[in-house]
Amino acid sequence: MTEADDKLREDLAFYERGGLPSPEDLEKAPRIDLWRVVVQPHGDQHVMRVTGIVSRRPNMAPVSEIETAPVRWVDRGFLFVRTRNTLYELGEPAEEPAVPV
Amino acid sequence: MLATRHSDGYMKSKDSSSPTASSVRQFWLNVVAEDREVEMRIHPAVAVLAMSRWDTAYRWILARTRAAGVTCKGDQPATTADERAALRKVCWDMADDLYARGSTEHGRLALCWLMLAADPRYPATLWPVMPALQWVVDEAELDEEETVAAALRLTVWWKAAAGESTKEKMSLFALAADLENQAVTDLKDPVVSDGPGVVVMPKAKASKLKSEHAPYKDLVGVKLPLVVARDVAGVRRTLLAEYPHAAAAIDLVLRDLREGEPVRLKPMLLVGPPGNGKSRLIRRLGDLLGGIGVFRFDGGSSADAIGYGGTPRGWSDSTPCVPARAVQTYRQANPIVMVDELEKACANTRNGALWHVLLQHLERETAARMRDVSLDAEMDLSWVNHLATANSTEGLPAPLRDRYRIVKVPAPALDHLPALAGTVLREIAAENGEQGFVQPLAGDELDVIAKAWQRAGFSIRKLQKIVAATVEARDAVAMRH
Repeated sequence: MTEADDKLREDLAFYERGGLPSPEDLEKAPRIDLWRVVVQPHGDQHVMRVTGIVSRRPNMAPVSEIETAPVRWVDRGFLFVRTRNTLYELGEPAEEPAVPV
Repeated sequence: MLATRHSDGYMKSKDSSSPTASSVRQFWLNVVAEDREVEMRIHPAVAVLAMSRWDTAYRWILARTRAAGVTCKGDQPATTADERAALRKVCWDMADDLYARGSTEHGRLALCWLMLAADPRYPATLWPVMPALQWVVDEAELDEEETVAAALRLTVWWKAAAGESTKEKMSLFALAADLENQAVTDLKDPVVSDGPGVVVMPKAKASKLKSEHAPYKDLVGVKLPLVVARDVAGVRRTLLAEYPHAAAAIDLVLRDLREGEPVRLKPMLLVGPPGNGKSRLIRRLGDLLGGIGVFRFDGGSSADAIGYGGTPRGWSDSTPCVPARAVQTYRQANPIVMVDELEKACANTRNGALWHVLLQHLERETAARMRDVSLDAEMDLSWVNHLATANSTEGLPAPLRDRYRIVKVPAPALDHLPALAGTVLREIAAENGEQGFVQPLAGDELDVIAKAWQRAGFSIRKLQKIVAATVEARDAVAMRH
């Protein structure tokens, strides 16, 4: 069990209790705009990834296209996604997700 | 494609501890039925994943949420897609309410409410659910079989999240249950494909089944085995030894059997005085013929008589016809359907149509394309064996009498007592789990039994009671010594 796994587990437990990343954390996180959700088969399972234009990402060009690692959590307000290693802020979607509720 | 992939998965692990259809079912039943167990070892969302109907899941989650001290709005049932859509807003709000409470218990229930709010027509409603649900299933301590069952259902949810089910009107729960049934059917295929068989429910001629008929889904498009006659001479010897008074009847009953061929008997009516062993003879025949199922239908009970032909699909609890139920129960294409006390069923004027229905089933050509009113499916029931018993043929409608081969089973006589008492004694011993440990009846015991039996009019049913009493008396004496 690596440090990243421990942190992930801790965060998922926090989200499960209804927790959200703090505004400060989100401001520091890479942001994805014009995002889309992609669900694909992956081995025996399926995975969800987010594609879009990423900004605020350290050690990378200021703006570039991205496809995230498998998403481990999305909140129901589509404010953020969490992959194993990274928290992303979700900015403007490519299309507004249709949630008729 | 989906089901194939999973059934391949099953095949590969077949040699080790491959999951069986019944164990997969059993797992889901356990998950849903044992609330306590669920609380101890399984996240409520896994239990919800196991449910086959949206409204079942809704009621269950509602109850669990209330038990967690949260007031919930509404308790409306929702069975159609539109009714569910109206309730989804409530479900979404419930998730918000629960997440706001900040505890793990409430958060877990919130995920369940999001599952209810998920609508295959709107993939985005599944996005907040799927990563969390996958995590929950990955973390649950499930054994190998359970993991396979859960993965199968999750696939349906994932595909909906991918936007592959946007035309579906069914809930995800029903879709997942459907796929599971399909996979279970695939599992069973190789088992029944050896030897002769018949597809009793051709897929092309079956409508979509109602949920209460889920057990029949396993039959759709599946070749069911035909039980084959083996060692007919041995069967005859055994029956003659056990029912010496019915020698002529036994030969008539066995006349249609051909060694190595599927059991297909002409409809036969065993006629004789009450309690002379007609029904037992048929049951024993089933045992000896390689475990061919004997499905009993009580003609004397009017409630049963209504149900022979099944009840129409529109009824709230519609029941398929008796031969279809027999096929489903034994998963054989040629079980025996035994109508006990046929004359009573026909005498009952309230059920005047019964003999009419029976006639249709006795006619092979009609039975080969029988449309079941409850399942709304055309079935090949022409291999079902129809046997019946009656105390007399009096009062039986002539067309019905003509369809049956009438087999007279006489009352036993005193000469047959030693053999019959031996049979009865063996049955009693087998029931008590004492096979091989019961002393044969002694001469003086047989004398006492003979007198009592004579007074009782040579009924085998009475003989059973007399022999049982003798054995009991014997045990009591043994204890005193």
